[in-house]
Amino acid sequence: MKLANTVAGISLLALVLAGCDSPSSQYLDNAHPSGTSTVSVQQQFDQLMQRPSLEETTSHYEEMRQKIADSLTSNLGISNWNKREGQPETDGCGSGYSVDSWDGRTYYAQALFSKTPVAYAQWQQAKSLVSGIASSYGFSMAALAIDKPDNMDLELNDSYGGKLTFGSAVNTIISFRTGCHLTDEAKKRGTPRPTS
Amino acid sequence: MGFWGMSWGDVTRWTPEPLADLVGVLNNRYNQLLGCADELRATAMPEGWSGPAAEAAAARAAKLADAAEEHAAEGASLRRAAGDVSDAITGVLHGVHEVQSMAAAHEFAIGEDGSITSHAPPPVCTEADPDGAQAARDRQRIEVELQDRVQEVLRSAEDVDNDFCAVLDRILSNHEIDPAGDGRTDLAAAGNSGAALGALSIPAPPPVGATPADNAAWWATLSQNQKNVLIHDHPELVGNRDGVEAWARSQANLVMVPKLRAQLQQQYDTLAAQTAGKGAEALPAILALEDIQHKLDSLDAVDKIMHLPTGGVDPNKQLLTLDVSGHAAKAAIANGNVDTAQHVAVFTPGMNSAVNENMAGYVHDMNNVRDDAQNLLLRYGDGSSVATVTWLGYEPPAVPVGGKIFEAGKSVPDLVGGDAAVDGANKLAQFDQGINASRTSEPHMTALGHSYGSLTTGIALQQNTGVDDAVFFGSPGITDTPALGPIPVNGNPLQHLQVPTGHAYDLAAQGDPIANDVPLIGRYGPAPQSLDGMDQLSTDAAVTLDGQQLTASHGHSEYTKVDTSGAQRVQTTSEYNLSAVVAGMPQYTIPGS
Repeated sequence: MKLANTVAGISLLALVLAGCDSPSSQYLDNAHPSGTSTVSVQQQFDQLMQRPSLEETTSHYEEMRQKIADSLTSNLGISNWNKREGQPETDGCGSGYSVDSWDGRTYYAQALFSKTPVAYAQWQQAKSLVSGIASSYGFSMAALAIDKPDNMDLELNDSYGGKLTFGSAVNTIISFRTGCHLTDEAKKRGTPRPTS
Repeated sequence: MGFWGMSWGDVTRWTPEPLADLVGVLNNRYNQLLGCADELRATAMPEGWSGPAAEAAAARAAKLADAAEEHAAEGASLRRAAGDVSDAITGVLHGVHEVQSMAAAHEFAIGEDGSITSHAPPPVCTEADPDGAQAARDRQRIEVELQDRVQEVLRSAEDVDNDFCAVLDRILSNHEIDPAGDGRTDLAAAGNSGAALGALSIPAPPPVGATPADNAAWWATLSQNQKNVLIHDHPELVGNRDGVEAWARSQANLVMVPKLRAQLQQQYDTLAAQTAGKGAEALPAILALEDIQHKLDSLDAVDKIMHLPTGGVDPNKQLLTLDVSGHAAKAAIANGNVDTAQHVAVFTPGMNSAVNENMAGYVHDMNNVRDDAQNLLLRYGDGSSVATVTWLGYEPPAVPVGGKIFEAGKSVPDLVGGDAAVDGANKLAQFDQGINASRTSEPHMTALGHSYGSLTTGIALQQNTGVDDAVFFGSPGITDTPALGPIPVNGNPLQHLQVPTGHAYDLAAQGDPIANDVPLIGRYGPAPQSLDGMDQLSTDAAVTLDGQQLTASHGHSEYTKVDTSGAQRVQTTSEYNLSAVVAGMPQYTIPGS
């Protein structure tokens, strides 16, 4: 039975190895674990030093979101905005980043929502309002667009991997998460966190 | 159902208040005794009095003092025991109420003798459950869990009863303190001695092999004080116990991290000293050192994930499993709160996955899935929460790439034989069952399996886990009976999966050799995307039915991440589909072609 197992597995293994050689396979089941990258920690840290810090980015994007909400209120009457229960969250930067996960962080905002949906007839106007404000904050790349009366959604990316979500169905929501940014503390330090 | 003479009806009539009141009464009496008799031995022998009468008086005074000390010890013992038993009864009654609530919610009744009776009408056949088989399985699972919980509540009640009886027996026999003992100096010391003897033990956990329901019932019968004592003094009994609440598992496993690190470091230092200066004969020891180092690195990785840069524990993560007993470290980490989330997804990664290498990446990607799922829910007026668990509670095989041929616990034979999947599947099934058992209201549960993890997930779901939706992606197949030779496995393994009809999904991206080529061998059964009853979801650059512009996934490794091939990072169709299923909104998924 062991021989049969081995024979059956050899061709499987060959296929697996072929799959793992693919340069696109840099995440699951591969030679390069997701917590690392081919770029050195120092190089990556230097690249991240060119980005605004996590705190600066978060503050900037909260300001953007408030402007969007205010614009939707004044132009379309979408009002009574509330934040989803809970607290904002942070996390490491995930796959592709070898920088220390306490130096490079991502931020998940609590969604801001109004119980007033956008009227479908006003959806294009709403998208224009949101896109106009968002683009001035770097969210200039459209990732998703849903244009259905019962499901409207616009998702925009910034150049750091951040995502702005604006959608409306029963509720209208505005949410964002950032890409990878150094914390204020790491940026001020200016060098990667010493390994313990 | 009786349990060593105690019936379910007896336990339901327990009440902690009389004993709690007794504590106050005993406390007053005890303080009075201390106040009036503390100086008894000294005052019985005034200075300058001697002779036979003085000796007789001294002997009598000593007897009185001994009796007072015995009374003090008895009082303190009873006071302590009454407090502890009152506390323990509160815990037992909590367990009783959990069982009763669960029974009522599912239309079962519990008799005086602990027997379980169903009062539900026959299952209604639905589109998702055309023959009612799923509903029947669910009811059977709940009934078994109720039986297990009743047994555990009775076991805990018996434990409390026995402990209290032991204390009372000692008091009644006037042997609360050792009559020959001479280390006491006053009544307070005697009281302290008695109080220590009056302490109750915490009911022992169910033995190895207990079901998650057993564990859940045991845990539910403990008071908060008892839980806290176990978490901090015996975390090894709590952290990996399926069925225990997630908050408690996480706290216990975090307590274990420094303990395990110290143990592993000691092992490493000892072995390193033994191999110093040796030649080729030390190769096994050198490999063992690498194993230990990987485990130490895994603990560091877990520590990083579980803590914020400020040093505090991340309140949005839970460490549900931590085990370094095998060849490699095993862990499960949740984003969100598994105890309260209305939707819980359990993601099982595949080959080459290791806690020290890619756990952080998986947890991050699952956090993105959670974020997207919660936003989708909120858009539809449902503010319910989502928790996503990355489960590496098994040791998936590795292929020898990147110099990993000697990696700890991972080898080509594991991949060839599929043993790791079968072993992992049993653990995964228990883990899933444990999430349901640990809660009084079961969440909507989704099982996500990637690559070899989809095989593991498929085998696990042959058991009655309570999983509501299953998504396989990059899957080589999901059968538990891999072919032993060149003849492919036939049949539809989906028929053996215990998930509602129409709630199994598959994702197979273009350019993924595991999902598209491996099934040609038929080693793990037919290609999942070809199975009758499997809903194929799109991984293409889809324009959705509702007009969403999504990006294609390509290859074996991009199902749960945004596309980074261009200058921008764009959400892929597969990531969107995973989020929609996890949110319990499969109607918004994008079907495959």
